[in-house]
Amino acid sequence: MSTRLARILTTLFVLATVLLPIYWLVSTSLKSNREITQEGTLYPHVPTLANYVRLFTEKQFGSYLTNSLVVTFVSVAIALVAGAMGAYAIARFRLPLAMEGKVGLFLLTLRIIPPVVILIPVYLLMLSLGLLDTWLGLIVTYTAFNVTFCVWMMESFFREIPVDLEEAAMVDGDSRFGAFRRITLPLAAPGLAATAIFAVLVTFNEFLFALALTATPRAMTMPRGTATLIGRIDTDWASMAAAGVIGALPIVFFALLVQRHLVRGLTMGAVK
Amino acid sequence: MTHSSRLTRRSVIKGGLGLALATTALTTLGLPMAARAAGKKVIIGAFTDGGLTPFKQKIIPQAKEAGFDVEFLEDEYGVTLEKWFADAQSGAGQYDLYLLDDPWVPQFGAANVLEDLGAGGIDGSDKDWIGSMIDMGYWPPQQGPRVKGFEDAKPTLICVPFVGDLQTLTYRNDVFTGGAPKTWDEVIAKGKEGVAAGTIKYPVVFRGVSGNPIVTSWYPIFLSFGGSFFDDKWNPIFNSAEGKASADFFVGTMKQNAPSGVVEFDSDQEGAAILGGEAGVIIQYSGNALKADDPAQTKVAGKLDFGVVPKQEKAIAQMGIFIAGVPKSAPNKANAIEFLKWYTSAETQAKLSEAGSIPVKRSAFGVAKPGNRLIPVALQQLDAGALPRPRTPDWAKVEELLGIELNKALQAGSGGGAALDTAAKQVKDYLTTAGYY
Repeated sequence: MSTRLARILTTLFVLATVLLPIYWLVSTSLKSNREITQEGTLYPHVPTLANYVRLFTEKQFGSYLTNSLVVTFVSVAIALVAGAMGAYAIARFRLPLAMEGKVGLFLLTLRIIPPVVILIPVYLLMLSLGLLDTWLGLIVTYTAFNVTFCVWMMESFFREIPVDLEEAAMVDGDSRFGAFRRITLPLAAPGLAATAIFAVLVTFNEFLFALALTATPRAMTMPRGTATLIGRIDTDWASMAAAGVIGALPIVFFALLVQRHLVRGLTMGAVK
Repeated sequence: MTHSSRLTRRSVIKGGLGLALATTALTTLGLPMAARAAGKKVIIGAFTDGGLTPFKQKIIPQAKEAGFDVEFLEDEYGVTLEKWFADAQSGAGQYDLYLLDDPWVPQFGAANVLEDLGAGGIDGSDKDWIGSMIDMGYWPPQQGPRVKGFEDAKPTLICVPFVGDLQTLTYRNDVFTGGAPKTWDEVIAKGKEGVAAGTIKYPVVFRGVSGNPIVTSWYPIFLSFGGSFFDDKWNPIFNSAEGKASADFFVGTMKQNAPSGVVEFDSDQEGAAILGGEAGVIIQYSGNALKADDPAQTKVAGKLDFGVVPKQEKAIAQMGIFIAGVPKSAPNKANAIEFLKWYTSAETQAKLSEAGSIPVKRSAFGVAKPGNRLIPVALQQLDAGALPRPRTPDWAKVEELLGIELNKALQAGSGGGAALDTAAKQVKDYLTTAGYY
């Protein structure tokens, strides 16, 4: 009995820990700024959707959201295509001696460099290319980051797929690329989905480069646009909470769509 | 089942993508249509601040009627200085007009990235300007010490005042029943009476966060105690006897009469304390003061009045105006200068005053129906005394060094004078390294 009680209490504690921030965000988004800052209520005493309306009528949040969706999905799509081919090449072909076994580490090193270190060079590059404050500038930047991540992550997925299947297809007359596209890639789909989720999460939430590379609602992404609600004297907390709720929805939606693949993808490569 | 599930997912994805593409197309098509709708394009960059609300709501529509196609872009205060400075220096040309915080003018001036507005036809000698405000638009300064390299340079009008923001006192009229408290001693004494009567919880509230917030809150007290920041050779003298007395009063007496968490307070918390009815007085800029009569923004509407900052020796506030500069890389430079001429005309300034924002021309303070009770008080404060922060491109660094030491003393609840000695040494060392002496 005591064990059961402990389990229930532990479950409740974990649930509260996980759900409380979400509750607080949603609850705050339904309060007025006065209620948030001056009254500190546990739940909205006078629930209002005005904060959501204000985001779209006064704060150009529709543009921020559109920019985020376009930039994220285009850059992740390009990175997945390029990354899949790169990862396949590393997994299947022998590389020059000095590079054997080191490419993955090299790509990982590129990914773990603190972004702030290369922020200024990227800014100057985009300036010289005339790509500041454009979708293209962000897409190019995010794609560069995502490709390294995709290659590094997908390499292990391709290694898990028996090469015999491709060879059988080629014996039957398929080309190398055809075997890759028709045999290997479908088998690696769970890994592709897992990679896509992580890439989408990282890209959709990215702030630093969006901060440096965008200046107007034409290109500002959702996290970047939300930051404009922070004022010198007063901050629109209610709208920020509403922005948080709306901004979380596409990611939650996307994760729900591909969660089946995510679980399979995460266990690919695990010890059988 | 599996098949139907796959179809559903696919159809949902397709639907979502279709929606995203449709929204994208509408947005992309919509932006140029909006841009084509009006006449002379002017892209204004501003940091988010409640003090600009009347301008956004009332003046921009009038500007459109006057033939300007105003695009107003807001950004977070903390990033605007770096963003705009990079924009101006690199010539990226993303803005026609920056609405700067006035301490930033020296940095932009020293970098020579703003247009000469005097050459553009804006008359800085017009007697209708509030003198202390138009002075802030010149680089190098017309009066006071100058930084190295600009000793003999001719002052150029690179910015014009946009909103005449400055600190004033907001107080509870049911605690200070005889009108605005005249001295700091009165603030504390009557505030304690208000606490004892259960009308308020704390006599005073201010910002204690390290850096700009705490320095901004301490500065009017420092000025009121008779302090001066630098001598005419850029030697720090803020740790004079007057300065130390002000700092000791600030981290000691004021802290004891403020909310317990004041060390971590920024503008949101101090705004909530006064608008929520907890505090007796606050010295603040117009962003929160403009909310004092709005029941949707405050629990004590009708109980908040405005006055000149209390004095110890003098009643002097800090000025922190919005000031407009046109980058040399502005894509619509001529439009921006024409807009500024229209905006700073006596007629438009009068409309700004009627809209509730503090104007920058003296004539506009005298309109029959100013849109906010704060406006005549702001003029009283200007006449009583209001000073800008020292005109150096390195003010942000100075403020950071001083703010750290003041915050430490505030945490301790004592040692304000010693904190100023430490900060003065650090500032001196920093300015020495920067070649000031």
